[in-house]
Amino acid sequence: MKLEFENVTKNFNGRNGDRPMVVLDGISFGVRESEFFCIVGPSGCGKSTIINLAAGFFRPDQGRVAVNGKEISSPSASRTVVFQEYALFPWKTVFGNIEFGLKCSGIPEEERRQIVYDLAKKVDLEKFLNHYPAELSGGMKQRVAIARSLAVKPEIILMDEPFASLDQQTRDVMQEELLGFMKEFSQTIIFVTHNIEEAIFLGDRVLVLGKRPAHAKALVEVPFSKPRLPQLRNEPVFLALRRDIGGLLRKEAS
Amino acid sequence: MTKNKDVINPWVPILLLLFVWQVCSWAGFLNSQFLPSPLALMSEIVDSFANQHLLGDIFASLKRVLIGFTIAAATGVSLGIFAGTNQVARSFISPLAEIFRPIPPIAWIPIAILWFGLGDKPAFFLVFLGAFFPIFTNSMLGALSLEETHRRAAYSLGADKKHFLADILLPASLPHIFAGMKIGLGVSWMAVITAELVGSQSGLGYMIQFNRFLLNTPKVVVGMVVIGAIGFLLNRLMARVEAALVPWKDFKGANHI
Ligand SMILES: Nc1ncnc2c1ncn2[C@@H]1O[C@H](COP(=O)(O)OP(=O)(O)O)[C@@H](O)[C@H]1O
Ligand SMILES: [Mg+2]
Repeated sequence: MKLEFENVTKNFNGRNGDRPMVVLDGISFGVRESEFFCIVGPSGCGKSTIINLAAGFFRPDQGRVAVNGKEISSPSASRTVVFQEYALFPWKTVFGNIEFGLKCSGIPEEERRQIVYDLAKKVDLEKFLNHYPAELSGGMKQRVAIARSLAVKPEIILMDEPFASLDQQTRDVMQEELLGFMKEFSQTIIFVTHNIEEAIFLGDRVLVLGKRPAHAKALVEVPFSKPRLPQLRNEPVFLALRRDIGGLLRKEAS
Repeated sequence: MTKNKDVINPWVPILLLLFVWQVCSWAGFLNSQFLPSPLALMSEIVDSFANQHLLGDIFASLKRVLIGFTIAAATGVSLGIFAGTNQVARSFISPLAEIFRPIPPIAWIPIAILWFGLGDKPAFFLVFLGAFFPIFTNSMLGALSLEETHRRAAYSLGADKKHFLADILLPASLPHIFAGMKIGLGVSWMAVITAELVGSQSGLGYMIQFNRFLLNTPKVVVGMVVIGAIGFLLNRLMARVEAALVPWKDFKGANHI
């Protein structure tokens, strides 16, 4: 397994002396090498907490989070994160944002420039390298964030609802683009979303989480090969799968 | 796109004030013994440059501001950023800053002269005191304003302490740092004049005091006008430096990306 959660428990201290809130309660799952692993669940169920644990932003209260069998102790450029709210550095241009991780890993300037140009071309932003994030649309910002997370050649990319703030059309396009340029890279991806269609369209497998404290309701193998075409979204098997997962989550809600 | 962009050229109100002032003098509403007219002042200014080494006084004041302000900026920014990132340092320094901040530079004059004698040194000290607190406080707020996701993004891209400070924390704090430096520079300029009124043999404050004893009111007003004009220019200069160093500031909501 590339990344493993073993009986992971995470509590947050409640406000004004409430009892601690259990967000993850002994959750276990494993992500395979080069897999596109989706996690779908209602908002507030603990999805971001899973991403934060995998990134190493904080440690589990119990259990183990491990990459290649080694327990995670701190953030590292081998696990980059794409955030819902983009988290681009407003004081850096598109170029500077994509370049930052390369700078941190001590890559010489000339080489950095080449890598940034190549990536910017892939995500169709080569004309915007000198722009500041505030000048870009939501979709463009997220493409910068994806390019930034790819630049350092991480083993794992953690995506926390990256397309949730985009409108429907942009979201569909971004999903298709993401599958497109992920073909060229062999990263393992953990992609968190509350959107069932998105999870099925992108994922090799989908972990379905119930309400807080997050617990696995199902682990679904997605039966479609890649590359996937946009019209897949309307195929009966796709729609049936979507309905099944929707049913699982709805049963939970009532 | 900026909210505080001038809709009127700043020279328009200034020239209008000078014009109304001149007209009032011509019309005899203003006693030239108490307030000389702008045109009369013009020739007084020329005279001061020619015969009263006004330029020397200007440079004496500017030098004191430059030195005191630079020391205040260096210490204020470093300590402010440090306090903004370190909870213990913050709880330790903040109460001290809050006790010293309300004491105006003028109240420090007797002590400053006692400690540093006459001349440049007490002026450096007063300028430093005036500039330090706004710069310190705003730099601390700047460091505190760094968003958690930016911190996380930086570390997950492999940042070490050095890159985090230079590429993330400092630029994120810069808009606040500049807010502090603009206030600090204004206070510096006022503080240097205050210092020179009492403990100095040169500078614009000294020039005003000197002419006051000679009952030369027009020259006193010349001093005031020059102080105002230079304060105005210093502020503009700072805004230029800020525009060059904080180019992303002009975009709406740029701090929430
Ligand atoms: N740092 C924190 N401190 C306290 N509570 C938190 C913290 N982070 C998240 N929570 C709470 O934990 C629960 C799960 O949060 P999160 O993982 O962000 O959910 P999701 O991403 O699925 O919407 C939420 O109820 C949230 O309020
Ligand atoms: Mg979330």
